Amino acid sequence: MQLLRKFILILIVLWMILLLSGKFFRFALQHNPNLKTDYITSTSMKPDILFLGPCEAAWVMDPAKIDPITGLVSYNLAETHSDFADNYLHLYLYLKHNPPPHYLFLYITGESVDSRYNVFNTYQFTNFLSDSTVASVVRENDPAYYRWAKFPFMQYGYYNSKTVFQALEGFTDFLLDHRVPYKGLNGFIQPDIPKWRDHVTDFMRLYPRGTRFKWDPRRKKYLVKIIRLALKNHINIYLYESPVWNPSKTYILNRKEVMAQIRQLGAKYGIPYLVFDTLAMSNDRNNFVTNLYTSHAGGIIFDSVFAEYFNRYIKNSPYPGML
Amino acid sequence: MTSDQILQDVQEVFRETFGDPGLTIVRSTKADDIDLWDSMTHLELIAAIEKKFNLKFTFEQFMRFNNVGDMVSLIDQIKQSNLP
Amino acid sequence: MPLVSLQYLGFLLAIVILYYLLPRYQRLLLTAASLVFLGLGNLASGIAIIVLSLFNFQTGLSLFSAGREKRKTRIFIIAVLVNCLVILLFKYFESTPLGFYVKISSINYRLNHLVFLLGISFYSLQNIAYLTDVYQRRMNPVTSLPDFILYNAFFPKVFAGPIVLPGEFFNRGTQAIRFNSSNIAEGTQRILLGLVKKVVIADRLAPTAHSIFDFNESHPGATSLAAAYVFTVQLYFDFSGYTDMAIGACMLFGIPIKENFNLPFLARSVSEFWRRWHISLIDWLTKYLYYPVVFRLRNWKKWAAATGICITFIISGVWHGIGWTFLCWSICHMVFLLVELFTKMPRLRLAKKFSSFPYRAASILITFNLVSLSNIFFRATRIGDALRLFRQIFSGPFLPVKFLADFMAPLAIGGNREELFNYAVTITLTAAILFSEGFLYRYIRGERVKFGFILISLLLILYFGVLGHAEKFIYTQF
Repeated sequence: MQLLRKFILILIVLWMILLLSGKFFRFALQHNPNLKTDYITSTSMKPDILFLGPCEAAWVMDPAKIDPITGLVSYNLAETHSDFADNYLHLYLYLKHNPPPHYLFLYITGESVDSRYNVFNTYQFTNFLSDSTVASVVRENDPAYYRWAKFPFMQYGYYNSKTVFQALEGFTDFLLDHRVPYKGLNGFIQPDIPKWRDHVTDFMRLYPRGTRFKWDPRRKKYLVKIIRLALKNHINIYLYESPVWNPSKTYILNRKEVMAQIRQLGAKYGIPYLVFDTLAMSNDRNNFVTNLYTSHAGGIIFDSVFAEYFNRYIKNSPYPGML
Repeated sequence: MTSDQILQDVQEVFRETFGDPGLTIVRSTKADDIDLWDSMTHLELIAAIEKKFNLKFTFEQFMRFNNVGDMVSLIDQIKQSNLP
Repeated sequence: MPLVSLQYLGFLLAIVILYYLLPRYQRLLLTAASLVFLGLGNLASGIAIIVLSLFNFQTGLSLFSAGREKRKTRIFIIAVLVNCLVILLFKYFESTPLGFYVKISSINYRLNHLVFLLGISFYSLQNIAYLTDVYQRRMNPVTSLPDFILYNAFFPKVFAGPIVLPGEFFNRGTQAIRFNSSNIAEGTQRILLGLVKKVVIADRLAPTAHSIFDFNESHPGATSLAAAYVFTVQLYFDFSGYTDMAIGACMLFGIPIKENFNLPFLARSVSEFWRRWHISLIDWLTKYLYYPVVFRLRNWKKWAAATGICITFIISGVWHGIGWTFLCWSICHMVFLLVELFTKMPRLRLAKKFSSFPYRAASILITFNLVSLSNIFFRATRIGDALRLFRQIFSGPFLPVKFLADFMAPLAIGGNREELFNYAVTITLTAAILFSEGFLYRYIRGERVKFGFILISLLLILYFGVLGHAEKFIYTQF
């Protein structure tokens, strides 16, 4: 019975340590400006343009390059490898704490609608589970996490490969009274290793005979939710696709169909789909890091093309008979 | 031949096989105690012992060796049964 | 039911409590629990183990009652062939694309839902050992079917061993095992150590090998070599972590199981490595393959051992998997062992010439490198990947031009601050556990509950363990 007493004592001590670490993580993450969710809910901001989407948006749409041309202020709300549920919560949290922007550009390509690509990044929302909307989206997209999150500390511990660093970073920022994201205020994330990852070769190895994208019902559901949330807040929302490295297109057998379906879905809500796939830059491999997101050089080209396009077709007359 | 003599002779074989003239063994010496005594040298060792004592082990006997003592007793036993 | 899960730990706890509450039905309980455990995870595995156990159980009885020696030999040979065929079929499955997921480290027990017929290559070896022992009259056939099923299906070790030999399993007597708090304390601590090794070390290291081995990219030689080291360490922690959990669980039931690893990275030669790595497999191979082959040839001296090594490692290669990569892996070890066999005396003289510490350190280093290089074949999905790594190590530029971009970033799956921090944590924890392992094994023995050890292990798992499959990111595109 001495054995049992000792085991119970260990469990009690463990429980207490976990309760305390849970409190510490909550506090530290709240003070981490590098976590977009924590940053947008604790800072007041009022940009004219928001960019939303996965890394193809986060790593390509640089407000520092776009704003001087448009004369407006933009913020990049995109997160790396995020799916639409993830994007939806980012937008939801943003709108809960900030006034709606005039324009919203949501990145979408064939990969975006297929559940094989990108994921729901639960760890971004660890501090917002008390919000019932966040909680229900998290429960739907990551039920295993949601069950664990009921234990003390586990809402952070479950994704410790993210949260431990972020908490330490946040706590350091708190101690140093540092309130600025280290990557800058506009949300743009410069790829850390601007090195060509031979994505297409891997792609070809995986799907030697090419692949077809398949609509995932949950992706579709959250895509529609984003559109509705934006329209409800009177935001001019646009779907867009940045340039795709041309040679990779042959491996996507139903690219045309999927693009048409996306266009159709947008049209249903009166939203245009802007596709930039006839630019000359798409032939040059040096402009890309993977087949979908641009390198530094490609980013400079595309951001100015985008900004010029914005000035010409969107800025003064939202939703004209475009494209 | 007493079992002590046998142990002496076995030790001789061990020293030759492992190339270590200073090696001493006792009845309880096991494979783990001698670095070089593995399944490869074990075989050489057995072949050398068979030659030295002029006898043949069966596979069953061979598989039952756990330490030097086992070997010595078995050699002793075989030698006894071979006496006229 | 994955071994690294709360369900499993709960299941284990429930069975342990029942086990000591019902001392008269201990073995029956374990047999039933094992079948439930297997059947719940994968019904086909449960059926396969029952069918194969029945077959081998019945063969054991027939071997005993078969009158004429000739008939007995015929039964024996056919039954052994059946077991070999079963292993081969399973290995063939593993060489198919679906089986690839199973292959990595040949265990990957977390992906067990993919494993077609759990543990079959492990318990088939046990069956062959059993038939051989009965055939050679080293033991009488087992007369209790539940006991025999338990021998094959005992749930803590059915996934991937340790491979138990019949003599070790059936000679324990039939009396009930009494509750003993030191078994519980030590068993619990051993399971925790295994969990830490698996979840905190192996799973954190896994993405590194994946990023270097499975993508057709060129890296400097140093990066590729480091990935080979990382994989070797990962494989060790994965497999020995699993083994610790298996042995720990057996301790909870008061059933001693032999060790499978003995600090293999301290080995000073490849032959010593094989006495410290996957010991139960090597024991099996030595007893049931190597000795029977070489005993007749013993007058060939070293050439007898050489023949034995070649045969053993070819068979061991096939047992690990069918394909060029495994063949190359086993040929590597064959060559290492043959070279060691024929250079034994010169090496002894060399050892005497140098002072013992530098010689020892150099031997350990060389052995680790040889094993790691051979593991490139073990890990690579296809032979081309392995050859690409060898080319990079031996003929490409070896040193990275940019330390961060060419060396750290590929190993750390990216190079941002978070990834570098996580990688630094991984390497620190790996080194800490690697160097303290011998001490830890001694420390967790005995009947006292090691309060600090248990608490720190649990906290390590919760703070640094891979719990939420965060590594899924590397399988998805950006």
